[in-house]
Amino acid sequence: MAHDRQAKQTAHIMDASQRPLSPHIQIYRWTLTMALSILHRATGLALYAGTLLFVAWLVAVALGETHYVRAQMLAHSWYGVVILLLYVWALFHHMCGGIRHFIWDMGYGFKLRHVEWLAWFSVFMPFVLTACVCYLAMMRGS
Amino acid sequence: MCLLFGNDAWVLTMIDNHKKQKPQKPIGQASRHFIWQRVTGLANIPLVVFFIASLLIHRGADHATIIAYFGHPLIALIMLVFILSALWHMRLGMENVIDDYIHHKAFHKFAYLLNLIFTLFVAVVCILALVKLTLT
Repeated sequence: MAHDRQAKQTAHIMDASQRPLSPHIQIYRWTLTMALSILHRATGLALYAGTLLFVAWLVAVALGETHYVRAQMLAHSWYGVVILLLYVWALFHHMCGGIRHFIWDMGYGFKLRHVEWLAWFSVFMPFVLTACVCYLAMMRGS
Repeated sequence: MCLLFGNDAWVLTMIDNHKKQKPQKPIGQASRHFIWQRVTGLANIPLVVFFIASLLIHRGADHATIIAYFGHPLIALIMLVFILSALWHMRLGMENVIDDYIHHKAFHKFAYLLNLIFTLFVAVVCILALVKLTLT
């Protein structure tokens, strides 16, 4: 009797269409660490694409004055500034996330309190650093 | 004893295997990936700060000044290290993403290849630009 029931249950599980699914991303309550993990990857991918901008700038400098001036004009236009700010923010965000991961890799910061603290650190630090860069850029600007 | 632990032969094999693994095992592919990701990531921190500081110092500078600065052999060398470290880190990171989302073996291999080609393309263009900067 028991064996029969078990067989039935097993058959039920084996049927792939009725197999219970593991909870996926839409089931979870959003947490800060989870959002940051996703953002870390997103900024990484953005920086991957962003290398093309870096290359373009370096090539423009190497090609000569006309190309350099054109690149500077693009960088100083409003969309150029927006893209540069996002670029710098993504860079600092990825950097802070990397430092956080490095602390974990060394075996520290696993207490819940410390995890939360590190998470808030890597939320605010990128904005602070981007603001610093923005301020320095404006200060030295013509 | 037998009732508690069953046949304890598996314990013996485990100990045996442990002994066999004692001699220094060469670092595997995955560990090397992990270590280089950390090494390049750590190196990128001062290099990125250096690059951003360089740009901030020369904000609004004319072409000749920029050429003179980035054309200096020492600065060009630091830029070369920055480019290599950043691109290597970028490639390793993208490999992680590919591992996570592309499970089909052929597509996976193809994505790895595209990743390598993109990295090499960026590296070659950057190095050519740097060489030209140094020589002019």
